[in-house]
Amino acid sequence: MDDTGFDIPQAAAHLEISPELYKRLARLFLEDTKTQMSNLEAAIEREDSDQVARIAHHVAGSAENLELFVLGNAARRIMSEANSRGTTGSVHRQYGELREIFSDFQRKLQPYL
Amino acid sequence: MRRIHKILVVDNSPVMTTFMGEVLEQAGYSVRIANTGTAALAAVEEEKPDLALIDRVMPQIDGDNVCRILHTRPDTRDIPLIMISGIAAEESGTPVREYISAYLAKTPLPQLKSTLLQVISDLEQGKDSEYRGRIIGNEQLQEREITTELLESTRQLHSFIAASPNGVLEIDGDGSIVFANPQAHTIFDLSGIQLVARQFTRLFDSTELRSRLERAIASLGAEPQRLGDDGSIQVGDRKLLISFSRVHRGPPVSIMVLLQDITALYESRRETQSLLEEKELLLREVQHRVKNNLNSISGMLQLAAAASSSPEAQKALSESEARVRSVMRIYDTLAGTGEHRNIDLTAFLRKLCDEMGLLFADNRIRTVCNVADEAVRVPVTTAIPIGLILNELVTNASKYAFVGRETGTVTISFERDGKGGFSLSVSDDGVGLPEDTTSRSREGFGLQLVRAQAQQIGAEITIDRSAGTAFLIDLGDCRT
Repeated sequence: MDDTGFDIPQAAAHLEISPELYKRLARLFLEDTKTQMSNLEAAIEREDSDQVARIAHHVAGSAENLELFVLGNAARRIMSEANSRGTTGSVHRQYGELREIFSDFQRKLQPYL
Repeated sequence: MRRIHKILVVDNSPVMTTFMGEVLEQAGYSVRIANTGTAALAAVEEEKPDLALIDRVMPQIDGDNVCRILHTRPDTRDIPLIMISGIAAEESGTPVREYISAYLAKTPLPQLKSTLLQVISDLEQGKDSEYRGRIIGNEQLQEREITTELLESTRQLHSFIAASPNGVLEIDGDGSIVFANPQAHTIFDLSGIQLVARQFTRLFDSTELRSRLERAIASLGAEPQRLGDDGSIQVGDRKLLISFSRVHRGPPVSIMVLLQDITALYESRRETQSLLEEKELLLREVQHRVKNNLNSISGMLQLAAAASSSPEAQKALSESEARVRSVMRIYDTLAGTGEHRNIDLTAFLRKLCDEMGLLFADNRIRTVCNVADEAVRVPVTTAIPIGLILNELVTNASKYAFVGRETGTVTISFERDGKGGFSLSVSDDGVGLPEDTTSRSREGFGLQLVRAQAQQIGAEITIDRSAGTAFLIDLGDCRT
């Protein structure tokens, strides 16, 4: 499934759940990920690479559950970077990319929820 | 056959708990949700479930620990435990613990849903052996190197903490223990299972101590806090030093508690303190005896002078008695400083000047004390000769400088000499030294004593007779 366009009934059918449940999960995902993004930003700011990797793992897992792989991959890149090189400039850049993907996803999904 | 109706779902992801809750309720089960390990243990305490579905990776008390705790407690060890893991691919080489009924990989939701329902149905039918010891659904996942590295680094960190000689606890925002290393078990004489999920402050009996610890946790900022330096934190026979530091502000809040057993250190500190007090007591006793002995010598000299019929002998004995009293005065002043190795010379000189000023008040001789306003620390072995020199010169001035005069002034100065050293001077505005003392061979016993003391500390004396008499003593750098 592509994150850039939404067909709720199709996405729900793909996951073998009802469109209503998909919407509930998507709303929970948006809410939880918003909190996780703030936590992630704070962890990057205080250069806590262990926590950055953990939060990115959580975001990636949640996104992949809903088969949002573009978002999931962006989170995994942060996880990889934080674990190998700490919170360097690349993590800041990758966080910017993740935030953009998430905002775009949020903007596109919101009208359907 | 096993009847499964009430299922506890434990996962920190609301998406997963909602999904699994929905799936299980649709299948006819009654579901309770817990978003943390602590909440899961509290939920089990409240109502025992027929089965628990537990996420492997959660902050603070992770799924592994929740399962271990439930398995160890006698009242919960029979609950079938299903572990669901998002890192199953990376843990494929790690053996699955024997008390886990089934270990499921977090596969895409449709597959997870069918696997989960199948596993629960099989467990209901008692087919536990089909799932023990293996990871289900793992074959479809690819190992991610990054997660493997992260797991390895976590394992390393845990082994370092486990090997620490200090107790290490992690507590959450509510003050519940979420992790305890083996040394912490020893300190509190409780097993890991007994420690985890317990309120940290409840480990201490004293109400006062509990509120002290609660206050320290509540006011914890970026800087670590340390309690117990005074030996006030006691657990059984142990004295503890407790440091709190924030691992991160959260969410979730995580506070590391470091427990150092300072019983031996505290005992040795107390012993040292007691030895020091004993030494002080002995020293005071010795000082008291020295003073008494000096007093006795002074008394004997007085008696000898009174008994002597020769005026010369009387004079010599009286002068000697006066010197013994001077030594007593210096000794008293030194003892009053409470220091035994190095003392502040300026404070010592000021005190000595005050004493001598009082002594000469009746003779209408004024003493002026110009002592530098800075602390100059010198060895006691240097301070004593300086005190004796000062005493001798001021006494001499009072006796000989103002013969035939009503009043006079003796000025005592101590200052830096501009060459890195210090100088002491005793000057008077009196009649000046008699001509016959110009030659050293004609100097009186007092001056000879002054020279001997000066020589002892490497000081040089010059005499200025231009106005009254001034003795200038070059002390050099007397601090060393």
